[in-house]
Amino acid sequence: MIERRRKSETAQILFLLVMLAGLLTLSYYVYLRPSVLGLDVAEYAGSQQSGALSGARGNLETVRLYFANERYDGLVPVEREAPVRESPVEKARQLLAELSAGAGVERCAMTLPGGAKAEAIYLLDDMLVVDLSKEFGQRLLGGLAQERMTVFSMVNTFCEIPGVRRVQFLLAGQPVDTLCGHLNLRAPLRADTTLLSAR
Amino acid sequence: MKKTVVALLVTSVWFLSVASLSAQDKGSGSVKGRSVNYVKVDSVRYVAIDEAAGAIGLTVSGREGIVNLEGAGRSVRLMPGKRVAIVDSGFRKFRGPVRNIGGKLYVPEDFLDEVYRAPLSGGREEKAPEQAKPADPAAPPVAGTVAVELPKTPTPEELAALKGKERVTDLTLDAGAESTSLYLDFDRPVEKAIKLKKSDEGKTLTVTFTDLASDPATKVFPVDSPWLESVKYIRSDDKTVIVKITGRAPIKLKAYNTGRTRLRISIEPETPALPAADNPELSPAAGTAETSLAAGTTEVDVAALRAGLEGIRAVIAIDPGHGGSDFGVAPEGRAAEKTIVLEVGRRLARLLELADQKPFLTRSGDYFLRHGQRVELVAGRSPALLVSLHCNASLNEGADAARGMEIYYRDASPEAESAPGAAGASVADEAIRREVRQILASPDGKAVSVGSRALAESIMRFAAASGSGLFVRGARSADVLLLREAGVPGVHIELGFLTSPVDARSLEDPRFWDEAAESLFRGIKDHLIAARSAEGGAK
Repeated sequence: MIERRRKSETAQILFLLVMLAGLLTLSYYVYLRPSVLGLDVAEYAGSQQSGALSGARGNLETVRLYFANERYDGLVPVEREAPVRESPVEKARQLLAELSAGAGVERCAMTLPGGAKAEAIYLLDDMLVVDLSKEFGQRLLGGLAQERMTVFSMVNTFCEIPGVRRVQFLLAGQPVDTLCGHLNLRAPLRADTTLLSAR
Repeated sequence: MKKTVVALLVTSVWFLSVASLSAQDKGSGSVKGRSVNYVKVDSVRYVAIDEAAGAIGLTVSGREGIVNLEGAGRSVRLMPGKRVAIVDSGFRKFRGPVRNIGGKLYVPEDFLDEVYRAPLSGGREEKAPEQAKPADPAAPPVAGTVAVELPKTPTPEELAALKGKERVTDLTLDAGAESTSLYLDFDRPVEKAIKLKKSDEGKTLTVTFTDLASDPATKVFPVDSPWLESVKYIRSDDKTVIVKITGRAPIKLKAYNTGRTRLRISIEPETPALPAADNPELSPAAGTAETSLAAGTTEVDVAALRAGLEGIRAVIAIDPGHGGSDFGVAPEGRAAEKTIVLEVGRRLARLLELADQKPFLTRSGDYFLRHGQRVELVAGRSPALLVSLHCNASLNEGADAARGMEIYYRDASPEAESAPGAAGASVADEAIRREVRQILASPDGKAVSVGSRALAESIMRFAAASGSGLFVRGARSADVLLLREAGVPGVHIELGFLTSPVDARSLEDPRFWDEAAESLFRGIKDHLIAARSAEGGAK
């Protein structure tokens, strides 16, 4: 008799567990499932991923990055090898991480604070929209020289990506007037070749 | 068995509360006659994008995380998770981010307001609302009771249903040098009367709202202002909210809304800040005049300062950058940029005033100015010249390779505007190119560009030749936002690098402030004389 009651209780508990699992699954599909209007979920999630350097290393290609000269009044092109990225957005993430890592070359100065990252990057026709994190703005020291070098090291580098001709910056998801209070960022920027300099 | 029953009960209660919660946050309304469903998140109503787009005849597609809406002659690009969208060619902000809810993308209600001017309203067809009335800056100060008008007037039935249930959901204080605004965000459109009481010789204003609930409790806002002492928001009880504003001098109040669900309380000093010419800080009898002038002299050769400037009385805007909570460049253990530029700015204003010119400072103390306020302060006085003062920095901190003074001007010549790096200049940006052509077509626009460059070169020449040890890196053009928007010939001067130990020692030295001010004065003077000669020659 007691054994039958125990069996009955076990069955009820199992039934409850199954019900709970069902409810949790239902909740996941109703509230949390990350799909957007039938867009390829991987594609949407791909643009949110961070860390271009963390991907698996496949074929390498030469990328050109622009760092500041030591006087901080011009940009110096620096070439290095990096894994191939087909998507322009992923390429931009990779280049941002490379810029943030520093030049590693004598008489070149870094232009981005270490660990700088973008919350999101989008490609609209020939315009790359780079949504910089709030911390990015907070970690810059200010000054127009630094603002120019920071902005145009990114712009000139991103414009090396095939198909990218202009770069529009956002800060923490918002349109931004300037990065440090001076340089106009309201409109998209094109690569500035007049800033190129020898080391 | 008992355990089973308890577990069953807990599960049921949880399930029912989730169901009731979600039901409470959902509802339906209509857009252009088509019924749509909305959900409420953080007090913002959201409409499923396919419903919203379908209601206004748009097709939806997406790639690389972007959602495109096309049709009806409009092009909208949404970025999931962001508060902004690109509508045609400009950016628009929304009250909330575009959200992924239950596997569908939802746009905030004001997406419809912003993009299509077709707001959602509960259960009835909606006509496009009239535009919000812009606040009248010349309106007289409010006294007594003020009715807050709404751009969209709710029906009497709606008002009756809403009465007594309005709630403040958020507060924001926007402090500025000339006015400070407190924004109250409501959970729905509100039409309210406020009671206003003035006391303490006009230094204290008490604004009382009745029949108004509030999520924020009592909050004291920190204020860094020469004329305003404090702003306190007090939730007195469940139905009363009090805003107490205390000034250092008599203050006045304007109240008007800037949106259907937002009220702005704008506070200003009764007497506007003194212009530099009337400012005791800059008057010859006061302050640091004798000690602040160049070359260690205790007496100023006013005749020498004025020599060559006879007949010229130019209004000159001096803009010490940053201020208040914005320190500018401030490396650890060093003086802050905001302090250095104010000191140099005051000295420059003093020299110009002694030379019988009409200088004014956009910032005469340590307080914060928004970019728009700086532009207004400059443009409002239509100065002949603008000199904006700053200190530089490099991420190569501690190195002396990056050092020296830089003078920036904004070159609006066709070559510069279409040059690489120019903001907005591209084949696709025809609107911006049109704007540039219009500016250049006007004699004023051309004069601003030419005048700015000439001023920069003049200042550079005198700074380099001053013999004071000022190292000058050069004059160069950049699209500086203040220079772009001020609309007058102007320069942006970076006095030196606070990240260079050599420069930082100079920048912190009062003798450098004197020398820098004197160099700038001589450059400005030379420019004014040259401009007069050029004008005379042209005539």
